[in-house]
Amino acid sequence: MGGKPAELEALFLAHYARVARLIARVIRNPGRAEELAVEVFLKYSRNRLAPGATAEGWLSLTAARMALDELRSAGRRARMAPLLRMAGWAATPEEIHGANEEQNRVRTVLARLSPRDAELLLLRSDGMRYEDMAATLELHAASVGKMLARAQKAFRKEYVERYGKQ
Amino acid sequence: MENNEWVEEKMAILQADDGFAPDAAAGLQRLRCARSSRRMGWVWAAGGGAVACAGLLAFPATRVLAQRCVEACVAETAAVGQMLGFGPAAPVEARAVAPDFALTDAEGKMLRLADLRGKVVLVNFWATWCPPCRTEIPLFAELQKAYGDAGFAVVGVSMDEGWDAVRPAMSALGVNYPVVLGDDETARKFGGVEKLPETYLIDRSGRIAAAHAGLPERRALEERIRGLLGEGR
Repeated sequence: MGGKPAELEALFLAHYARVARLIARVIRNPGRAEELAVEVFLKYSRNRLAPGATAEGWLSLTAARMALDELRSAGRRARMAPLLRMAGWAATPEEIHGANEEQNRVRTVLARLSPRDAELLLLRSDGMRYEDMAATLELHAASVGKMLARAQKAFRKEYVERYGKQ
Repeated sequence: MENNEWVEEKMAILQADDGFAPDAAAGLQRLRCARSSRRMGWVWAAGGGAVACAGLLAFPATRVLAQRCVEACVAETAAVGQMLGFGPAAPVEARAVAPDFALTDAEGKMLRLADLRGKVVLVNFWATWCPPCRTEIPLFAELQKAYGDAGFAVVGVSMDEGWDAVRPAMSALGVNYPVVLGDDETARKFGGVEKLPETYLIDRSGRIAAAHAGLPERRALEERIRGLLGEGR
């Protein structure tokens, strides 16, 4: 799928910034976002596109998945923080002083949703159209709207349960 | 407010940090370096597979399967000679003139490759963020020490963006040879430098005798250097 090195690099230069920004929205750490963005393109070079899917959509979906995996890992680390502190591990200043409380709430809720719900919400908020989401996620076009509505409902429910109606 | 509007509003809060400007050039170098490293991993895995399959050749029942397996693994490991062995030096008459460059070294002095004519020169393209590059640098430092008096010179061409990361890395890795800061123009002259590390051996008359992408194998590299040092003597 990555084709020749020159094709992969052309794709990289065209989409790297967008992919890195998508990841950085989720995980907040720009340096790590850039590392993961490179990983996205490495994965692309080793995989095959599903029929009907576009490279752009595949990159977005893979970026969203890797960012969400990273977010969930960070969540697990945070839950284990008391134990880790006893073992000598220290949180980074970034983790201690969240840049924006509301952003952190949204990230926490995303990490608690099912992977498919979180992916749908992220791709939609990244501006992906329904038909592109259907091709990328290998879904029937007619069901994307319903699935997105369910994901939004799950997000709101989780958010309100955690933080109240705001 | 409807669910969709409410959630879209919340999702819109997520923004990358202000001023986050992904560095595509550095990312591209990381990608090239990672692709190069992973190919090396496959080569080693295939080599291990060939050895394991060879054991099955001892038994008649598994011999056919083992032969097919060995053939597949050997096809992949055929790259080993080129990737690790540094390949044989090209015949003198077939060598191309090495491109010249004039770049500033870590001490601020101008280094012109053509000024090293008369020596056997190893030009190594590397970067601080490239793990295989960091692995091979102590070898180059040893070779510089061992063969420097015999007319051998190493020149490192760092493809980093600036000296901030390069100077500390030079110190940490024990670099005892000049390092210059490369740029796209330098890379283009050497065929684009698509993977890091990339290393060129230039003979005493300024012609490229051998080129290699990835980690070199010490013995083969040393043999090439000794051979080139002895040419015309």
